[in-house]
Amino acid sequence: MRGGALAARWLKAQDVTHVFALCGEHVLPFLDGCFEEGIEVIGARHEASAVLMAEAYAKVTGRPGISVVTAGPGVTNAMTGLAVANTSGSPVMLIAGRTSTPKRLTGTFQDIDGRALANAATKWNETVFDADRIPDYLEAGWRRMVGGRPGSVLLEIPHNVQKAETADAEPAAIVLPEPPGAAPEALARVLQVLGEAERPLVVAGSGAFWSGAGEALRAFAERTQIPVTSVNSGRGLLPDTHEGCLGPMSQAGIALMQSDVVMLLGTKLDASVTFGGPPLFTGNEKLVQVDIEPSSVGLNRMPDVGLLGDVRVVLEQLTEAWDAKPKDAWLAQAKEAATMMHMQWGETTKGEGSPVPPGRIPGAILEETGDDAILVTDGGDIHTWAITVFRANFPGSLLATHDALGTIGVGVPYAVGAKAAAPDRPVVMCIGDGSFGFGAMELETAARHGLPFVAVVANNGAWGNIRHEQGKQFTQNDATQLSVAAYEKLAEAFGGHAERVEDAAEVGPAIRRAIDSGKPAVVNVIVQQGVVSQITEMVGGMMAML
Amino acid sequence: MIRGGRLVARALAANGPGTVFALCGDHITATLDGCPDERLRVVDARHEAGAGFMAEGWALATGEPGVAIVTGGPGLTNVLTPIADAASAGVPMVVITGAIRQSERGRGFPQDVDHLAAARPFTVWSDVVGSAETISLDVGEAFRQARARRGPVLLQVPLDVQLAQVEDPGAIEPPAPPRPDRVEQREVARAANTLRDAERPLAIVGEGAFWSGAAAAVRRFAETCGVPVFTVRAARGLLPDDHELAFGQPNFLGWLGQHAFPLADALLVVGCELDIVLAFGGIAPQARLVRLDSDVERAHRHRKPDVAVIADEASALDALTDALGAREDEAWIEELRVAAVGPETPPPDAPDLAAPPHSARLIDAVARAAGTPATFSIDAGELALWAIAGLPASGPGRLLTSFATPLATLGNGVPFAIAAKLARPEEPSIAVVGDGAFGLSAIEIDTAARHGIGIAVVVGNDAAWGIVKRQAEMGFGRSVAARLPGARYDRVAEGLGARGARVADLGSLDAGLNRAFDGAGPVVIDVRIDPEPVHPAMRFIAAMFAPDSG
Repeated sequence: MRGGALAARWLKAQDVTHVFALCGEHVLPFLDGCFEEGIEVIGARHEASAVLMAEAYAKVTGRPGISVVTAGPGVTNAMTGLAVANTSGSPVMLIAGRTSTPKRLTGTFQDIDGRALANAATKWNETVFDADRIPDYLEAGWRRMVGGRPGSVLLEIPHNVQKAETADAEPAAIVLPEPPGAAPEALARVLQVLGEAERPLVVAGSGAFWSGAGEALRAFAERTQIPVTSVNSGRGLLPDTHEGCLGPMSQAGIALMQSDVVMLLGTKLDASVTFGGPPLFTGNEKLVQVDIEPSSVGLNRMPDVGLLGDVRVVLEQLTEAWDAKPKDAWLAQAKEAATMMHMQWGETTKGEGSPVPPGRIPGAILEETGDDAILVTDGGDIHTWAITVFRANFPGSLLATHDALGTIGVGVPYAVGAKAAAPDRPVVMCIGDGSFGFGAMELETAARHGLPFVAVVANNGAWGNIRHEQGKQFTQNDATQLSVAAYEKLAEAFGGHAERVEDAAEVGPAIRRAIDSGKPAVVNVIVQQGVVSQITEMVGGMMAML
Repeated sequence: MIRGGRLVARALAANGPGTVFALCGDHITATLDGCPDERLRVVDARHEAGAGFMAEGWALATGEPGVAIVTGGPGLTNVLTPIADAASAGVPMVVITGAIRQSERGRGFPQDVDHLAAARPFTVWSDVVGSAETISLDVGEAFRQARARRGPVLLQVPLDVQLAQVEDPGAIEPPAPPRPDRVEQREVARAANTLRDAERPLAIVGEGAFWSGAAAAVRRFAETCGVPVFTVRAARGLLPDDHELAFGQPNFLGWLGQHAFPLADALLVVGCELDIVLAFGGIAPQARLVRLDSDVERAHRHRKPDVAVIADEASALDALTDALGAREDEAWIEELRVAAVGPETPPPDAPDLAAPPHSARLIDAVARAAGTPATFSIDAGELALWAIAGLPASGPGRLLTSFATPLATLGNGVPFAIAAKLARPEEPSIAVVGDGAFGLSAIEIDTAARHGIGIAVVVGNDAAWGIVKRQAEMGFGRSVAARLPGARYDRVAEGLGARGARVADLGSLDAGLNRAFDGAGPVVIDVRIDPEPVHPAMRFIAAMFAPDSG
């Protein structure tokens, strides 16, 4: 068999069922191998989208996402996807073509050193030079991708290596090490800090999700009655509807500010948790940090106890050893505050009239989707309206960009990848008009592959959040202005469902029709211009203050 | 006092063109704010790659560095492909990226990416502005480097530097231009002797000649010395194709190339990379090779010259013309003219007017409907093979494509056309793109519509990633993930505020194009094309990637 086919067969042995691709000369042998192995190839329209689809697939399934792109511009186009996955800590493997080794540096086509640029955006990258060793390299990459804090990896397979004949092989499933727990004395310190705390609180981050800690977190929360809030890929790990869950940080904020101990599970104190400082953190609370990645512990703030270990295993250890009094009174108090916040944020979704108040869009999405839906949010200002109110009912049910990279344009590919990962679930997205432009062409991918989702575009004809900030600090100019384009016609052009809405009362019904159409759909909602969310107002204020 | 961002804008205005291409973002707002005050026209794109390709297209259309302004993090990673393309094609381009404050690095702040490392494989120079006091120096150096080294440069301006208030330095002077090179007369004499001794000389004028501004020098050389001239890449049209001594693209796979290059006894190569597009210099192995080049490394790469003159291409060519003097070679030129026409072909069968047109027929129709002068921007893919062979270069900077450079990236046709239209609003600017390629920057139709930039975009729709599908079928007997649905891209354009038009058959091709080109732009014409005909070069390309090739 050929090297490319061997690579596909190795992936098949790891139960890979989907790869997200953009075809090109340099990866033809690999793509042909995927076909041979029965791996479904989803063909995107831009390489960045292919990688982002793979990341969404990972975020929904909890398993690695695999993407394949051609050499040269295929890799340069993929970079934003790699950077997003690496910042998010999502396991994504990019297999890239490369110029045939004997032809390197001869001025032949698409000969660039993909690894040199990927150093800024991957956890690990390599080039394989010998077809027989493709499984070794894939395995090495796979271990780096999923081991410790997950991330993006790049494996370049030169065209001659993909083409080369190798011995037929039957690759085995990879055996990963058992995830580590914590040493007894470290556990004892954590138990003591938590046990003595009056108002402890848990923040479950992406690392908790990747360790598969859903059940362990539920058991811990029920046993200890310590309230839980979640962030990033940790959203939904304990469902927002669970009695121990305070929902997103926007609702848990009051409890967080009142807490005397915060235990961070698999999240560093980066932008997505306000660096461990105000407004969410007072600085008076003690910090316990559990993480599989040593360098995540202590970023921006020294923890009182740092604990290296797998979040799931450590939670199981903590639950088992817990002998302090449950914190039920505090939980009730925290929950009450969160419920109040939930209602307050809910008020932001109820605007009426025409043009549509932006908050109405996430509100209408919530009303029209059941508990089984996967929600996606993308954008500048509109993202902040959505993220404060969107529920997360199960792991992988809410997909959004990671604040520490703050990449717009992830939404459309996320929706396609999510639908590929969970074909039976409705996928509904709230997205700004500017952000929609980055991945809009993937509506065609969705149509071609039968992966319907609903894009509800909040169209204010502007890069709203940047424009708002520009107006506060400088003078608004044309560089932040867009036109109020007819984005619904893009869906129409690709055989999808199109809706244009100018009145708040019509948003919900239009979303309902779009979901029911069973086609890729765009609901183009003309929203008020110059209206921003409280979060945009606040973040903008912080930017101006500094 | 003045803010750093305003100084960045002032320095850009002093050093570069009056038009910059941008996409807004938190980390670049202060610089964009300075642009109107410094009378810079800001053309804001929908994707940073769009802004980057527009900057590259601006340079290719005008010969002056193009400027792209992006925000940090994903803004910069999104612009890497245009930077790589500019590196591959040797295009001077200045990319300004915003970034988080210098004090925020490594702390999990939004959009914290090592920009310089990400771009370093491609940039000829990159730096960070450390203080608002040095902005004018640093921006000047960025332009100097881009011009001198003919490639992309990256200048990172952190937010704190853009926001800092400093003493107003007044007007900014760009750095003095370099003095012209002293041309080594002994090597020029050897070059002249080589050409004088030749009976069948050919000249290939490449990108270096364009960037050195050698249009007049090339014309004087051709007309004085009577040497036939081919132009390639950025230099296409440097001697316009309708000039009697111009023979267009040096296509070694075409009839003229196959019949003329083997007869040549001297080959003058000016400022030109002898890469895969020129068969690594193997196009005329029997000919003595004279290279004039500003880049000593390029002058010796891939094929060693018999004589090399290392100097600015325009100066070197002028010196060569003076040394060689008048030369007449009507017989050889006549022989080439005959070969350029090609063999007599039997008249084709009556075409099926109800069927989609052949790609070559589409290209022919586009050229006629556009007239001259016009600028064509050709995106990569199978359609580009026909377009590069069939579209005229009616002057310098009027045939823009990266398909003739080794990176061969997709998605630059529409942005290049936008830049060319802005550079020469009075001339038609037409993008010729495949359906796959169109998808990578279709959203920039919105940019054209928003800014009233009247480009025409011809989408040759074969419902496939044509070149890849063809190779997969040739090599593997089937294709995977290479088919597309043949969507109505004219309707996509309508959604984005442009006009849409559609041509489904040969019978309506000419009238359809004429009607579309005549109206107000921007306009996107979705033209169904016959996916069957195989371009002759496909054999060569497919052989490179065949599963059983070496």
